[in-house]
Amino acid sequence: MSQQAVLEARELTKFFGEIEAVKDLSLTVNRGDIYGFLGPNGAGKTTSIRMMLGLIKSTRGVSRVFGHDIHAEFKSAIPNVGAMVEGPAFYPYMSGRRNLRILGRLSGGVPEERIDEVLDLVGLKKRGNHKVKGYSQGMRQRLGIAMALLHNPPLLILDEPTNGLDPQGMREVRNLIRRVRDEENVTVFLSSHLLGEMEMICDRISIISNGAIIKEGWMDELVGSGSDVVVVNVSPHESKECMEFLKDKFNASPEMVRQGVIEFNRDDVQTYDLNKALIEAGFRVSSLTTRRRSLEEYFVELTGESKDVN
Amino acid sequence: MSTESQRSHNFFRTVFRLVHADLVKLSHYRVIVFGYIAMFVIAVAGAMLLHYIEQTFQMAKSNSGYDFAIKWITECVQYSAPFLYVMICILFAMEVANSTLKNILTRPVTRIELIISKYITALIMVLAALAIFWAVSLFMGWLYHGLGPLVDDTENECFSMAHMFRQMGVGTLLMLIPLMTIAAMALMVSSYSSTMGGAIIIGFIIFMFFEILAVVPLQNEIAITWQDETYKLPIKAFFFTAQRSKPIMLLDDLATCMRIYTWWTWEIVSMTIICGAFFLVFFVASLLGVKKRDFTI
Amino acid sequence: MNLKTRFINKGLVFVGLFIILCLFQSPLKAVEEGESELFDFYKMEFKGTRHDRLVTDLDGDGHKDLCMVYSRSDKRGEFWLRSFLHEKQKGFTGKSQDIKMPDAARVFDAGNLDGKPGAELIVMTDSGILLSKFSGKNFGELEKISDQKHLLYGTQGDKPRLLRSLWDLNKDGAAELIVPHADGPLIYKYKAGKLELFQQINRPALVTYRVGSFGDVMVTDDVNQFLRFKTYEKRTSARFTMPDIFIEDWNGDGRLDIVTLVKNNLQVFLRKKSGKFTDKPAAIVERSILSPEEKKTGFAGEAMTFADLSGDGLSDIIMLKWGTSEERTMIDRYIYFARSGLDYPEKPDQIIRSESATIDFGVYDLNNDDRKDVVIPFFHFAPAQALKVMTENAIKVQFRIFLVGPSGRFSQVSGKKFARVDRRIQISYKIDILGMIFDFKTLLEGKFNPLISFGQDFNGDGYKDLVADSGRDELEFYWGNKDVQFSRRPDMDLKLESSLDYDLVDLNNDGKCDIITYYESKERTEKKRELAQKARQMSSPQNLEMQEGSALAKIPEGTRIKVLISK
Repeated sequence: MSQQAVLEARELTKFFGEIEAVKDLSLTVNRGDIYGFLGPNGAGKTTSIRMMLGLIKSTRGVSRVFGHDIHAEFKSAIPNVGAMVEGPAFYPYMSGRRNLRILGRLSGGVPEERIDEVLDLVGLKKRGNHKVKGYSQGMRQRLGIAMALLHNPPLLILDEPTNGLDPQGMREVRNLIRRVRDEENVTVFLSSHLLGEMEMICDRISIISNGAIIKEGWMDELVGSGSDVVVVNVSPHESKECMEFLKDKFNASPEMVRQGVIEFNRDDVQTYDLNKALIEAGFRVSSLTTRRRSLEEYFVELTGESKDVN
Repeated sequence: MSTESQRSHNFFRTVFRLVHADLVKLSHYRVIVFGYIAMFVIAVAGAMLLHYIEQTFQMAKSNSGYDFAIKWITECVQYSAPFLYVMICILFAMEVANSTLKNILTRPVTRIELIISKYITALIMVLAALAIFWAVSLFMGWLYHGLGPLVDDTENECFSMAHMFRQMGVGTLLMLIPLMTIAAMALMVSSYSSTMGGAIIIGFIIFMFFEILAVVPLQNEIAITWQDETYKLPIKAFFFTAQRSKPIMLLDDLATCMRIYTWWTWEIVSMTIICGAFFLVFFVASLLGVKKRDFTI
Repeated sequence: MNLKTRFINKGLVFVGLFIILCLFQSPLKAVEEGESELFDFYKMEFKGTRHDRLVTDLDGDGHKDLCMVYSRSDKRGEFWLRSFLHEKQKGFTGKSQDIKMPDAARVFDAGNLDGKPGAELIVMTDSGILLSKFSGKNFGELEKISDQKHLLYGTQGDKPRLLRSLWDLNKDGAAELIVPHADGPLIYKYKAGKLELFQQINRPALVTYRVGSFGDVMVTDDVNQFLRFKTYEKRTSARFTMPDIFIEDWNGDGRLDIVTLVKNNLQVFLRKKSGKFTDKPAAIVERSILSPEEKKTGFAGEAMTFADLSGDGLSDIIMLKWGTSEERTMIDRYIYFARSGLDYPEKPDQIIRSESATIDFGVYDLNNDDRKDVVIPFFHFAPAQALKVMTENAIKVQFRIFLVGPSGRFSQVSGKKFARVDRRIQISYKIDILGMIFDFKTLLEGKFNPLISFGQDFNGDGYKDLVADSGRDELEFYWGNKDVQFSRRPDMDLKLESSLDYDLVDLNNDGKCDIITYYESKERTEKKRELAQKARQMSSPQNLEMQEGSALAKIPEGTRIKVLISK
């Protein structure tokens, strides 16, 4: 176990009766990571997180936070974690501020300034004194994150943090996470099924499918360096032709993302050769770039199946 | 290790914090607040009604402020129990219903600390109710009959005011035994339910089950021989909820100038044993309910 | 999961054991009725409904026997006197003899009139006095010994009643017969088979209401007991009332005097050395403590009675007052201690005030200091008790004890108006068998009469003990002592069917009191208990009296008698 490891899971397994929901799950989160725990709905993410936090008992396996076993040394481990698991929870008949205050008591008391700070951080400063039952979904989500941050934990565990947020809100959460990591040196462990979102923010990821981790590692390493997919912009009416051309000439499997934009896996094709061929073929190429393959694409490749739960 | 975790290793401090948090939560919860206000108002109104009835039916008249207060608080405890019970069911059920249990359990709080803190909060709720009842009863007793040393019909003093209050205090403490057992039952039921409504309804049904059975005219007794004396334990006593007024009822000896030589009568001892046994069962059950359950909320 | 299953399994086992425990009562060695270290237990039973009875030595063997008037439902209007003999060391052997009471019999009494062993039975009718001598095992034929008429003038007789009229006034072993008469009580001596008039006391009957008499539940032939005379006329339309007659050594000169009391006017006829009684009363005491307003209210009352409380040999006067405080059942007892020369102060020396259960109260020397102490019973019953009654089926009976101290007076704090209570004794009584709602009226009517008494010594230590029926078919004994402190838990328990009719009397003359309890037939008693329980559960008063054609009447009658005789 390296000194950098903030959260460590070793062979976590959970049986619900006969069903093995999580199989030998192992992962490591290092200090300073923004770690993505990714997978489709029903893959076992929330169950694993619950086991890691000690909310449910694992059938087998061990989970450690900052080196402390979550079960054997619960009280040493848990103060280092701030978590929001499967949605925020609060007392709707009280204000956001009061909810924070009450939760703060459980950590031994949190100064009022910190509460102000945290409310400001999540953008609820103005509505802090209103009863939570009047909050919108987005506000509630943000309050949940505020609750997790309240006691300055070095490790933040967020399960589906962008759930129910609009694109503006999602962006804000992303920024928040980055800020928190950069300014306050917090390690963030996120789980989500929104691979597109996660791609934008995570450094390291692990992918879970059907209760087992199928890959863990640096995002860039796993997903690729950045030039796996070629993007060709031609005139819209040329799209079909272009696709045929690419199939014949380069043995590619192109996809038309939308009219005039065609993508395909590069494999060994040289950009220069490609460009020359297209121009010579008479296509009006307005741009030719490469991009990294998306996380989603990577995932589909990896699992070879759709995102739907079986 | 952070100072927070250092502090949180202290059992008593954690429990204290939890209880404090609970009290804040409850004081903002309208249902609870209205419940207590209602108890106060009904206690006052009922006492006035009792006084009126006493004035009308001569036989029933109280001899002194203490007599009145003891009578009235017996009634209060008798009739408020189902409502107090429901309010205590809410204690645990509100965490479950709002999913805030996971908030608590991802803080340095063990499940045992959580359960114990709920018991202590329940105790405080019970004490608060008793305080209201006593305050109302004694005040009304003072208003209508006067308090002060207890004087008998020969106009001689039997007991000083201090003695009376001391005895009433002992009676109240003893009354906590069955009341806390009732609270334990409420907590046990709510620690196994998933919804607030479910906890309240099922809890209430179980409570009424015990209440009704206690009134059924079952005469069977178990006879126990201990050190050459035979003690009879009626089966009815096992329906422990009805035992709640017993300690206070012993006080009306006092109101007729009979000294209470010992509180540990067979009645009180048997009440303690039975309630103690039930309390243990409920406590362990609620502990297991919280500890072992996988909270998939 | 495993833990949960295990827990549930254990829990079920626990619950199962609990249920089994509940169903079985722990097998104690079954205690027999009447079993105790102190008493021998006897039972008698016969078909018939009991009426008045008398406990006295019939056959002259020194042991007291029992004779009882009874009737049968199939022979209306007829009465018999049955005698149960008490044989030494054998108790009541159950053999009994009957003689038929004459149709016109109004009152009866039995005692030793001729000074020879064997009691005589006196029966008075409208037209004279009959006598029968006890010999062998029964009374012989009744023979008329006097034609004296108008003895019980103005009274109605529905059945022969006991009238304690035989008293040994001069302590010569032969009782005199005192007979009420409109012109004044007649005292007869029995000589040579005939009644000789000894004297007529100068106290004619008065037109007045009967207001009350000294109450004590015991009937013994102890000389310090009182002639209890029942009026037969309706309370509201009495034409005249005979004075109550008491036999008491009023002035401590060792001779028994005759005390007459009517309408709170007490007149004492002292017995002179010659044996005759004074013509004029030696003392007339009349006190009225009700104010005119109180008298007008209609439910206030006052009554006079007497006892030698201070132990100086002179009888003291007690005036009772009740119904004056609108608030509660407060009864005041004004005590006038006798001064030498049979003088009584105008104002009372002390007042005992107490909330009381009944007018009756007990006067016994509880601490053997030759001074009589006062015991006043009290039930604390209020609506809040209803809950207790419902769950416990018991009421608390509190006795307030006022002790007469060496000064010859009750304790009283200077400056206070009333005497101070010295002891409070409390016992609880289970009320299942009664099924009545308690109120003052019920108690005044004397319908509540459980076996609770302070006045007898059962264990022979010289101090009067407290015997209390717990209402649960159990008699509890609390031994008395010179400090008059009774223990909280009974010193001795005895299993005995709860009764509301009993006699407490020393049957075998060993200085220890014995107990006789009377019951109706087993079937009828069970039915009454059942009805009473139902009534109590419905909280409605139940008429447990017999009515023609009622369910109770159909159950066969019977009388059961249980006797506990000290070993």
